[in-house]
Amino acid sequence: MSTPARDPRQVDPPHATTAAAGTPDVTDPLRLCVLATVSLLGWLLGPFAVLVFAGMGAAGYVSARRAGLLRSRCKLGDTRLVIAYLVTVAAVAAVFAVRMVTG
Amino acid sequence: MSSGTRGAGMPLRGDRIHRYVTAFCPLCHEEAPDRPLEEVVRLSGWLVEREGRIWLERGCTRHGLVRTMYDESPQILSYLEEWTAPTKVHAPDVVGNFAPVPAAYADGLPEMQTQHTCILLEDLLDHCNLKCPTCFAASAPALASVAPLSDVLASVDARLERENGRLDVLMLSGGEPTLYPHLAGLLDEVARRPVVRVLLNTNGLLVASDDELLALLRRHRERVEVYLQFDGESAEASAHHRGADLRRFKDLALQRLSDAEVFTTLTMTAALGVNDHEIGAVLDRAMATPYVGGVSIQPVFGSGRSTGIDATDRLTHTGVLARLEEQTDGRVTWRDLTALPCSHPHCCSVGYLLRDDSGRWVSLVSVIGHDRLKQWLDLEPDLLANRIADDTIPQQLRGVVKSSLLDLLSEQSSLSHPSMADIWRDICTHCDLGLGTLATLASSRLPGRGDRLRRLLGSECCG
Ligand code: SF4
Repeated sequence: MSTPARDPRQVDPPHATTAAAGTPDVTDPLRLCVLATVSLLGWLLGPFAVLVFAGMGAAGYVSARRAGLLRSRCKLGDTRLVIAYLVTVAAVAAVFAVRMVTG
Repeated sequence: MSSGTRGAGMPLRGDRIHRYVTAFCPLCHEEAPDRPLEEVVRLSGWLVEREGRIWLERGCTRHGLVRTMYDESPQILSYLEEWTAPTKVHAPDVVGNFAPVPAAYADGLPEMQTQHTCILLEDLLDHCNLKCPTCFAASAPALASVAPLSDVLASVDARLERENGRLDVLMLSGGEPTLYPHLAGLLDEVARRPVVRVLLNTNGLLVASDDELLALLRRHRERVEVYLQFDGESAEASAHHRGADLRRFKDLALQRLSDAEVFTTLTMTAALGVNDHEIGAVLDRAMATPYVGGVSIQPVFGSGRSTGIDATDRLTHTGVLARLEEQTDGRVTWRDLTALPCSHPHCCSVGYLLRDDSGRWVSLVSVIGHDRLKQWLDLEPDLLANRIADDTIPQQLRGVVKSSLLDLLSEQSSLSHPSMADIWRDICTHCDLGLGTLATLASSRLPGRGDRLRRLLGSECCG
């Protein structure tokens, strides 16, 4: 899944994000749909959803970092910080999940 | 293709092409730095302005679009491009060598070279008494190869022949050229040849302690000028570039050279975040020290031991110029300098500061004025044509001033240049620059003029 890290000197050429010719000039608000779905899962599954997503995220970043990704587009920048953040979130979620099951 | 619905059309690129260039891929180079020159692929590229900087972008079939920072200030780069002048003819080393760059240079200067040898650089040895972390020659105490004197002289003679019997500048470098065992013999031999000036690049360690060396430099001081490595006033700058705090050696070397009346240029290696804030301090030191005739500021580049430069954020030529104003409290700004008209305008810029009759340092450009300077250099034919009718500068005077200025603004310029007196006389007397003492002395034919002018230039000029 992880793409090999590029040298920072390699950049993307200035292509237009290709809306096929003739496609009407409206943006697809896909992101909003995704956010709504993620919120729904969060509401239904509570800390379990957080635990799963944070765990997957942390695992993904660990393997990406091993493959050479030192910086992420995430606001935290350094991938070590991102991993630390995700692990913390997963730990907090785990505590609450356990509490939910036992209490 | 047309379905009848109108699309968004193409968005803007977000940049502005500055000019198209031929370029090479740094990633390909790093993969195989020693590949034969004829295998180096020439790439299409451009200099492009984006987010207030100039970037070099080239398309590589293997690495895609590769972007590195080219220069910090688009505004200053465009200004520098206004200063170009006719260059001198050169003699190719192999007639008919029209091979493309870079392969062409495997056989010396090719036909498509556009610069004659204004400076001949001779690396005399790779041995050095320092092992600077940023040395682009990767010199070190452990290295011991020394060029035989006869080889160095043969190279000088070959170049003299190609240059029609005159070499403006011979630069001696290394390694540390003051450690060259045949230095005295070399300087004597060079003095017998039509070499106008000799520049000696030194880290100053030996100059600080060796009286014999100082006496040698003093003996040749009419022709020899010292380029003294001087990275700033802070211990950090010295430690970063030289591996230790060498400031007391530098101070001592500078003092001894100044006392010996040997013209010296402070050569500063500058790096972003290390000593790019000390440029003003080095200029101040130069202006305050007699016989320091110049400051040469060189941003570090990644070569030799000096690697690890961030190709997307580094100190550049125009960045040095941009920092001048703030660091000198406005006494010197980038507008006080022009590009060296004879070389590529992006490579190098030059400026002169003179102390006027009231004791104030002023730049040659500011006293003459940009427009007048351009007219004299014939860089603005239109302006000149429009002014023919009311031109206040007589034709032949313009000729004199133009050639003087071209000399002054060329690579051969230096205060120790023997024709400096004539250049200043022409400029000062014809242009009414408010530099009375300098003009009088430069135009006087009294005996001892040379010495007095040396002393005056030593205290009143800084290039
Ligand atoms: S930079 Fe100059 S002084 Fe330093 S090691 Fe290299 S040659 Fe020697």
